[in-house]
Amino acid sequence: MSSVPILDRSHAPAPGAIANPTLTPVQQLTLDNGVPVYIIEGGTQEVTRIEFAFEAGTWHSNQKLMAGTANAMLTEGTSELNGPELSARLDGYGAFIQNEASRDVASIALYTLNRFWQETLPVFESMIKDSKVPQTALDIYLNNRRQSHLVGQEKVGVLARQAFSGQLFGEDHPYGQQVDLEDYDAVSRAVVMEFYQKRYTARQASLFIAGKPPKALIAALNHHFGGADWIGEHSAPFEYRLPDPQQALSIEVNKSGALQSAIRLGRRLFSKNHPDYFPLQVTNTLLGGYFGSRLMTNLREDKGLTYGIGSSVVPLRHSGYFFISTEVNADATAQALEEIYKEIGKLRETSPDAKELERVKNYLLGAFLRSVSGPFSQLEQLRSRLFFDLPENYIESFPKRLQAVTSDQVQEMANRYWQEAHLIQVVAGP
Amino acid sequence: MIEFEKKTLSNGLRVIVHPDPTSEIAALNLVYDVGARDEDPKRTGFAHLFEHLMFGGSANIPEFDRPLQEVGGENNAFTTNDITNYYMTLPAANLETGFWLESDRMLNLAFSEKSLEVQRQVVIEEFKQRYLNQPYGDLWMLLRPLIYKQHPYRWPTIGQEVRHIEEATMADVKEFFHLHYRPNRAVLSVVGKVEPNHVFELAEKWFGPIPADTHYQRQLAQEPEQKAYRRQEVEREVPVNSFHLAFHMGGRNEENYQTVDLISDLLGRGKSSRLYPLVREKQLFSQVGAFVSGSLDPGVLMVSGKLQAGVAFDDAEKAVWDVLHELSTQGPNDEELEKVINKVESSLVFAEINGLNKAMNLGSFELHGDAGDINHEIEKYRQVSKANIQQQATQVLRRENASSLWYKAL
Repeated sequence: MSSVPILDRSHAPAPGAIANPTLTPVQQLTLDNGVPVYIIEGGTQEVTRIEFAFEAGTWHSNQKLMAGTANAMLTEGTSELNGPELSARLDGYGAFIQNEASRDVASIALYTLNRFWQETLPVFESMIKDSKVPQTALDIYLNNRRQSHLVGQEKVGVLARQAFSGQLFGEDHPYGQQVDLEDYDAVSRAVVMEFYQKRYTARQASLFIAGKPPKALIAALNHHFGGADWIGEHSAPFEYRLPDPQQALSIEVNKSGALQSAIRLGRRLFSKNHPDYFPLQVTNTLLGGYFGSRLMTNLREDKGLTYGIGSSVVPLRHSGYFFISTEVNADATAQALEEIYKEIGKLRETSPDAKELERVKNYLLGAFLRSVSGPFSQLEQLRSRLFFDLPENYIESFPKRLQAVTSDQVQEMANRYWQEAHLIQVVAGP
Repeated sequence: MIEFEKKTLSNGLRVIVHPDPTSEIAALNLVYDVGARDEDPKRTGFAHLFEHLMFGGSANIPEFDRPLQEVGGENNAFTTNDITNYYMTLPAANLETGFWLESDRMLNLAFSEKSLEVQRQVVIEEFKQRYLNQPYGDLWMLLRPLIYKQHPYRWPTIGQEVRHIEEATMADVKEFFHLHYRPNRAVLSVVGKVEPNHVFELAEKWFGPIPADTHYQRQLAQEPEQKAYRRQEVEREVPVNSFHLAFHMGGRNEENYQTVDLISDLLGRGKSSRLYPLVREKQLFSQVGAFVSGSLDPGVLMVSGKLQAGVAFDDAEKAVWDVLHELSTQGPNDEELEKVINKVESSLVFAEINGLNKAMNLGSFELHGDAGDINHEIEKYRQVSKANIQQQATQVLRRENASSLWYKAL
């Protein structure tokens, strides 16, 4: 019998070298009507995702709820088929539609099995180019939104988020607008149609394709989407005024009977192309951006004050913000706030030791690898790069940019952006 | 088709490997054959509390998360009524770190008083955040005991009451660990840019020395057949009336599972389903759907909807029953059945894009039978006939088999 070495369980196995990912080259083409097309081929399954992005977000309308409504109505009826028929047609081929509107952009994606693309693509085309916004479907949709709105008003987390964004951007700004029940009544079929006809046009569109698109599908894109029939008009850029930079402010939203308080704390910042965006993102990860973060370690793992706490730096196309959010036992609100400010203060006063920063960097490097794993994820990264107008090597330069962030820089970021004098604090609770 | 290799260690740990050379990120999944159904009725919420404790340090490693983060990994876990599932993704080059971490916490936990105290508090806050301080948060706490009178599915994974969590002792925790967290009660699955033989060597090296234990014999109270229609009405501070109708059905591995799953799709999956006209034409509901719980022991088919303002529960429920009767008496048409089966197939194909999904699915299929079954799942759906649907609809969608919950807005 050969002797087996005793296993040393007290030391971690030596880490391997993490290979830089090989990104799939992006194929680019332009349809006859000018729509740019980006294709990332890869994966093992015979499926394709075809996604349109339109300049049709909250940003692009002066009326509340317009972006979300017009986007949701895409699947609700064309001149040939009503909503259930459209749905049956796609379901029959096992296809999915995913659509959403955000503050800056709206999108609709078709996920199709390759063997059925000839059947599903025309249905997708009709949704985009021939949406009829049927009154019945619109009524059902608005009614559902009213109900969700009412449910949301019962949640402390939602109340805190609303008050926070209203304060950061101002209620007249698309990023800060507050929706009231009456706003749903103001949405008519005519205005939704008008928004749809203006914004869901070739001029406002980009097309993203990932998976294993058949050659014939690519060849057919011009036929379906490259024509002058939906080219649309030029539109003037939208302009909004942001409120002046803010001083510290504490807002309380009363929700009687709540067991927990929702805390949201942060400030307005900048978009992704700001030079401090990346080092601040690293700093934020250390503070509250992953499970091993300082906030999570202190408030959850050490004190058991909350089920979870996190912080984020969120880029928007024309601005951005930083926030910390958590829900805690109502009695523990003051203690939680104290600990949060303590953690921010510590980061301002002392630069993190090399070991902690190294851990954060390794975590982020792993997260980066996950974010470019497979064609669908790579496409998300590409969309973001184009959307924020970032340099062509932005994605592959991630490891290099990450390594360049220093401990001192982390402290500098905390000092530059996380002074208490600039933080807006919202507590929604009993 | 997911190709995989399988090996069982001498201590009973089953290891499944699916190499995917295109993924630099490896997924490692470890599923234990223990869930809330294995709990003592006086100590509910234990499997889930225990899942939290698994992150509180093990025999030789004071902190679970840190070493993983240091090599670019990320992990989490979840508990259901049937299983407790731990998963991580990490660069394939650092796979061994995952083996080191997972094997050490299977070997033994640190069992610190502080960790127990803190995680008890964390779980109590989770209880409040997700179940008590949310509109409709207590829905399943009402539905479970309405549907199940004997079977341990009658309590939710978070626990029946906060008190059970508060009263958990270190002795309880240790006993639970030694009974359930054994290699012969677990399946390890790995997906990504890995060599099967290398994975088997790592498994042998790190998990091989952990002893098996066969003390636990699952003896769960079985749910007696329901003989009469049940209804419960509650009033809550919520904005909208909510309606729920549950039917007993077979477990995940039973012969008719796929048939009943398709029935739920025919009834309530998407806008082309049979219940949707109650939203669109009859305007009784603002939203309505149907799904199956997919549990291992006999589960439920559930119809759920939110009522339109001014609609009486009686009228809404009657309209649902009319739709159910129509399916039972006339069965589906060809096109409709083909549609829901195609949708199941594409869901399976799309789910296979994600490595972690594949690892989880392989693990759960193996734990409950055979990992190879994953590749026969779609055939089982394809074999369902119109007659099967009608026969099962008649069998399951009966009034005596139904529990109705009227969740009223105050």
